[in-house]
Amino acid sequence: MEGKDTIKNLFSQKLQNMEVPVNPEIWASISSQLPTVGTSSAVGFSTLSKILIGSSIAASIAVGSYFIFKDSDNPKNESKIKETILENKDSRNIDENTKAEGNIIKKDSVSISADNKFQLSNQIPNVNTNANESNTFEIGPNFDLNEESNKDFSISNSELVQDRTTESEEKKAIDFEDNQKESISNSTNNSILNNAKDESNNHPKTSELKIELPNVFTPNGDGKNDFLEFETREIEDFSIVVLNEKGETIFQSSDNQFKWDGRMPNGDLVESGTLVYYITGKDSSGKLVTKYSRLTVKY
Amino acid sequence: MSHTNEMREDSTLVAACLKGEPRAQKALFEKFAPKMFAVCIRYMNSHDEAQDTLQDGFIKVFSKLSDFKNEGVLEGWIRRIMVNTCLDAIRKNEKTKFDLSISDVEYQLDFTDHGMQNLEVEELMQMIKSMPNGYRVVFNLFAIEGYSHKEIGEKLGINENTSKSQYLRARAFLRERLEKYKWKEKTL
Repeated sequence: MEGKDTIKNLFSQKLQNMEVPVNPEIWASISSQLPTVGTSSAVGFSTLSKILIGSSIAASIAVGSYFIFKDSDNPKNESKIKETILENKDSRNIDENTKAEGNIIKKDSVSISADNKFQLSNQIPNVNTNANESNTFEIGPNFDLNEESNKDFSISNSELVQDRTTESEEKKAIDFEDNQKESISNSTNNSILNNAKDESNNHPKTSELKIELPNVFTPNGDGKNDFLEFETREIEDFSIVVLNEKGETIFQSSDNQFKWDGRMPNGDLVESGTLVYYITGKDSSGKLVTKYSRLTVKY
Repeated sequence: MSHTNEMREDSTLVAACLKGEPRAQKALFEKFAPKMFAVCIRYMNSHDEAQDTLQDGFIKVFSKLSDFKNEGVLEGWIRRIMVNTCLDAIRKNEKTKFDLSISDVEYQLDFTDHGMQNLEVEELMQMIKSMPNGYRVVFNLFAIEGYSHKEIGEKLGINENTSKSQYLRARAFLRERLEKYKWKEKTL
């Protein structure tokens, strides 16, 4: 009995390795729940990663502002403001450390000042426990009125600079890559596209069965479109299955001269609505192909 | 030969996934998802349920991936997880009793989603889906996934003999259907 379980054999042979196309949205929702290299740092903002990001931004400012000041004759508004802040800070120095920093700012290029600026603005929330003193020396007399607004101003200001600089840096990097790789990527893209086209052409498309499939019939006995039938006599190994909206098989035939009158296995006429039917048969090259169509039933 | 290549390829993929490389994770999903979706469809009542279990199953696969020791075949390992996920889902779904009548079973075919390359396969699938849950699960486990009745009994918390009799009932059900539709006589 074990060896003769034909039903088991039939089903396992046919269905074991069956594949059904998967909606890409499923991957989207799975991947959103997975820990990955890319997302873990972006999602999990630990203090450490904040520091890392901060320092890398600072570094990019250094590089980026180099480009800005090199490229443009007139420094932009933000950088002007930034410079004035830094000057103010420098002149009003109380703390020795900031003095030292200020000196560096004066001596060295603007790119370093951008770096220092970033660090200072980052320190504000931590340092400003004794508000008045540090407040004035951090920002300067012009902004003395309100501690909060000072912080806001300096931070947003530096952010502006960051945005601008990282953006321009990225742009440059991309431009560079583009120049380098344009010719290569163009050719590879084209070949990939061509391959894809070839594949889709080689794929056994159902259109190889050259028959027009009717999509409506009216089994009401008025002599018009009473039967589902079409030119199938030429097709070898023909079969047809008609399914209703629930996916139940309501008509099936492997006769290539079939003619369906709309009656279901229980003898009732099918209700009006939309059905779908699949036909299979061999195409000119002998390959078994399937074709399907919707079928509207009206009375 | 190609079998060992396949295994090597899989273990490389697993290693990359364990490092959390998004591209590898996607590749793993795309490699196995269509087959596993077919598995889920066989067990679950509706297309939506099948999609849900596919998703849950793959999340389990990725979270348990470090347990995969490259000893067996990756596909088999994933398939077991998938089947267990389906069984859990069916169990949770309290509607599931082991003797539902056929009319209680709703099933639906999503015409737009399916690539209907093979009509025979699709028909067989329909027959499986038209079975009551109880038979269907046992039939799937025994005939297609290849579990023994003893294992099935343990998995479902039923008697080994119950599994056997459910299977025989499933087979009789399918035979009747196949004969009704004059399935190619030579295969029966």
